[in-house]
Amino acid sequence: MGPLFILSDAPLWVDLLTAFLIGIAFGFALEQAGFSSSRKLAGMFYGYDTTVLKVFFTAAIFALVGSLFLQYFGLIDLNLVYVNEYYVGAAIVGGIIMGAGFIMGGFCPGTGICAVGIGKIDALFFLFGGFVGAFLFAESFPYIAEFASGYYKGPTKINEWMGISAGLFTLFLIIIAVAMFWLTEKAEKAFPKPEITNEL
Amino acid sequence: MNARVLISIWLVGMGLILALLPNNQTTMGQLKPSELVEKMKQNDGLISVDQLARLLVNEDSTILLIDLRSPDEYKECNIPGSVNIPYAKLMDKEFGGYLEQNEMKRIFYSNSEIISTQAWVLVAEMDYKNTFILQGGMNSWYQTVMNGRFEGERITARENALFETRMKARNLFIETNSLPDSIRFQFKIAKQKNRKKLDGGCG
Amino acid sequence: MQKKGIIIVIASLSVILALVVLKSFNKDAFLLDAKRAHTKSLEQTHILTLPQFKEKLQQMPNVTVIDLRSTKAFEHGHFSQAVNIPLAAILQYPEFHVFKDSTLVLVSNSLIESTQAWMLMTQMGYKNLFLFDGSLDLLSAETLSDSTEHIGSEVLKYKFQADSTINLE
Repeated sequence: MGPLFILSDAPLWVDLLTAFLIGIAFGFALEQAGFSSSRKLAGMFYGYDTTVLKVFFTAAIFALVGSLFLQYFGLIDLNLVYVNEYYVGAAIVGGIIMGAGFIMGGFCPGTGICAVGIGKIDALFFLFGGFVGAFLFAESFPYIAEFASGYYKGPTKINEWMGISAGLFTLFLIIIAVAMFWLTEKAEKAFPKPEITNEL
Repeated sequence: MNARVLISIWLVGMGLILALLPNNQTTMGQLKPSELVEKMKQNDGLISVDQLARLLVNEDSTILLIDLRSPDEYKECNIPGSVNIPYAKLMDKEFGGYLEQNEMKRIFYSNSEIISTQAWVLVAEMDYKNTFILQGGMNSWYQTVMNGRFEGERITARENALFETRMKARNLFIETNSLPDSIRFQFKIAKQKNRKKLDGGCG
Repeated sequence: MQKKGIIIVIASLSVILALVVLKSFNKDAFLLDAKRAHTKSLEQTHILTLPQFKEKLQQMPNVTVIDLRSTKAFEHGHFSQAVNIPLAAILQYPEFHVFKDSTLVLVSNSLIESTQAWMLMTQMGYKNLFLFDGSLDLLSAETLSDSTEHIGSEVLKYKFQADSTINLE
């Protein structure tokens, strides 16, 4: 349960129940935002529908603003939040592979499972492909281990790397986000695909 | 003005407030200064070397003796049953298990009282109970328990018991610290009660 | 409809701004968290041995001695220009924040008390804060005037002598 209380303080079933409820809420939100449609997801790449960017960026910024304020008022301890460890090479290659899969498949892992939930056959195959990929990665790991665990930077936060306060970084991020929302709205007008967007 | 513009304005406003936040470092669970002073006033966080000697001789298992000195000083001699957490490493995660609990009585000691009091304050302000400072520290232990001699004509029953306890504690101290290093530290490698690592991921 | 939205935005922003302002002007809050206080205490430059203490006393007008003992003990005898603030009443002292920028030396009968006060005030943002490594009771005019070197109390003054008759059996 992240920063609200320490994992080991609560019995296991409380942790599992919380995870279950959060998972249901997440899936419901994804489906309600229309993200189980692969055309909506691919629209981000072609520019006719940028809902994905807007939704995820807004969610991230709201979470960031909220947690920083809660920390300021001493309600949560952000030092307990797990910071992903940063492997530069692996992150770049992984990002490219994931992005390519994203465009071709039309789902990201979360929305893929969402789409299976509403009974999409293509999502079933997408998910199966994901499992095959995971299997291949695990089997071939000894050959790529050196690269995958190279260029290690440890758990870094961008604001610490830039040497500015978390609040100032958040302000920059919000300005960037607002600028991107404005740009993407322009893009939606520049590359319209009414035959798809009307259907969505 | 539509909803998007309003939300954008709201977000930028929040960002401005965040960017101007003073660098106030209060963290969750930290006491307020007034609460900390209340705790200091109670003055019940002290333990004398004679009390400690009695606890040692009686093999009290509810105490957790913490030696805050450097590893070298700890190796030279330490009070039997203590674990070594150098003060410089007090806030490291690996020792979190010793500090973040309320069950055992923690007794901090250093050569004097300054370092043990600093550790006491740090633990106290995280609102953990049952923390004690060894009064006078290791110097006082030597002065009273190791080198204390009875000077007087007649000894009362209470004094007799006191000196007997000191004698036993002294013998225990000498015996334990005279053993070869390999045996002394075989069982003393501090168990690292690591806090469970919180894993994260992304959909 | 539009007006309502603007009002909601402005109202929520000003509520949060008010909360932040309230919080940052709250005197009963620490400026440093435990981790930073720990790092600061590791420097060990705040502990004054007797010679260092005497040196500090000579800069007197710029240095304030804060006497943490009870008022009774203070009236019995104290340094000139010393201020009596018993630890228990430290936060109630009316001109407490006046000292924020001056050099302060904490003295007391017990090292535990002066260290506690040092930790408390350091975390509240005091920067030029020192504590005298010794007890006022044991301090007399002679010890103040003699020039023998003093070692700090955090040094073990005894040497352990192992009992060589003990072996593994």
